[in-house]
Amino acid sequence: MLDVDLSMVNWARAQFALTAMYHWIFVPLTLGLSFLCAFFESIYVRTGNKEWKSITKFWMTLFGINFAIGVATGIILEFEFGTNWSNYSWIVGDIFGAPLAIEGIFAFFLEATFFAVMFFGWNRVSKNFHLFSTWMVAVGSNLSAVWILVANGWMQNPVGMVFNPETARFEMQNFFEVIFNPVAVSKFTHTSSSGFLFACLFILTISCWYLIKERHIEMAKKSIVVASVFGLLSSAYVGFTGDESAYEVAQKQPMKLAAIEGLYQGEKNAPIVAAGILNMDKQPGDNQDPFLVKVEIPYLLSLLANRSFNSFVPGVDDLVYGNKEEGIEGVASKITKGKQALNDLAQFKQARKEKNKEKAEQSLTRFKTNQDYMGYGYLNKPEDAVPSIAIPYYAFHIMVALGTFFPILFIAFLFFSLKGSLTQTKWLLPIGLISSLLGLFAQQSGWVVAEVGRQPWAINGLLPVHVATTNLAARNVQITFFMFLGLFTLLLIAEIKIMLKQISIGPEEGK
Amino acid sequence: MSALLLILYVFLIIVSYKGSIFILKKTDLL
Repeated sequence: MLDVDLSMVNWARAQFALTAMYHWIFVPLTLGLSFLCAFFESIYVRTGNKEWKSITKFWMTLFGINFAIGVATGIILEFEFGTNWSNYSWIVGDIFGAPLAIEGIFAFFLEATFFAVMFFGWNRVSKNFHLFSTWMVAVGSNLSAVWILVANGWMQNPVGMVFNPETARFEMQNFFEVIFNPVAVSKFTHTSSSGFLFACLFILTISCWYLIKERHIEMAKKSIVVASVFGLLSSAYVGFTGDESAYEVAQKQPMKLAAIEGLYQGEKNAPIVAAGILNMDKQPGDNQDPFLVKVEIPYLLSLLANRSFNSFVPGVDDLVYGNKEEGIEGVASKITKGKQALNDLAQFKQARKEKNKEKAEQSLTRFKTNQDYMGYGYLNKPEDAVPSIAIPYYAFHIMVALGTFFPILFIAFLFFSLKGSLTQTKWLLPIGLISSLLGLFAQQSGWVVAEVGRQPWAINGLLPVHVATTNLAARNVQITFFMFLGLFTLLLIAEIKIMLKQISIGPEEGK
Repeated sequence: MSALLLILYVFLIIVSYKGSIFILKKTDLL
């Protein structure tokens, strides 16, 4: 067994989570606000009304402040692959590195180039070219997200590659299979549109503040209408892509689905848990009830997971200990095969070193029969294949509850806007004011579901996280963890202060 | 399914823009 400092693994995970969660405060706002700025400027170019230009420039200024800090945290994330996850970078760098490189030299350069025109090109380039630049920033920002989510989708569902036993690395075999990985497509569309939704909530928050303070009322009302239409349609699309993402999880990562539903005993006609409190003492294989209390919707989980009411949805126990009736292999047998594969791989390497061709070929043939289970060879016991149940379960249910609330909020804002009584609807404005905080909570919950639910794997089924880290002493990561915590907190405070200053100036004075 | 998701993604942006203009006109804000 590998001699790994587990505290190093946990600190490396904590540092990556810290950086990713800070990064994800800024990114969804960039994804959505870029398109909203394009909408506002399109209306300005279409109408020639200077008020729309002032509205565009106001939201564009907030977009620019946010964009800068999003870039800073994103660059640190990429460096962490090298510093804390060098084994990961070595083993899968040929595949994982490609989309990250494309994101940097293609999508990011596209958005950065047009970003300069968008910001500094007012009155220097034609109206139409400026508008084109704004749209290109929106397209470029979301193209960046495509490549990052192709990389993340590959971690959840590794496709399009082969393992090279001579170098002990995975090598890309089919680039298009990696790009059009169904997990990556559903992940991109779900994540990007949730960014649209979050940006719409951000606009609601600031516009509601203006309406409560009775300042810039016309600008706030116009912004609310555009944000509510985009937000409502995005909410519907987020729900649709969320369903598709859950289906892909059920097919490719059944353990993650079991975790987010707190499902231990698989069943046909499986109900979905609409709400419930987990029994924290419950362990895989014991006879305790997983829930202290729960409310279920009959049959719905089978339908969501397999598109069929009476299909079988495996639980944690089925996946860990196997279920012969349903043809599910237990983890213990996978661990045995995995250890055999690792042993054969070591013998293959030794035989090549000794230039013993015959022995090398025999070892390689044996290795290939079990190589799909190689990752399991690094696990000690079957229960090691189970992620935290409570964290993905609660994060998923918070995300879904908030995702159900947001379209109702957008409908309310549209209803009172159409009625012409939005400024008199005093109860609604404070809800709009805090809505972006709720949106941020939903955003972070989504990533917690995706990444905590993937544990113990860095690459699903192939590479556990404890094998993916750099062989460092934990204190090295601890030092940079607290350094980044301080730095990111300062950046966040700086962003909020600059934004608040800009918001207090408002659109008219800001033009 | 992937193709449908991507087509609907483009539709979402176009329909949101057109829908915004429609509602802005309805509310006399445009």
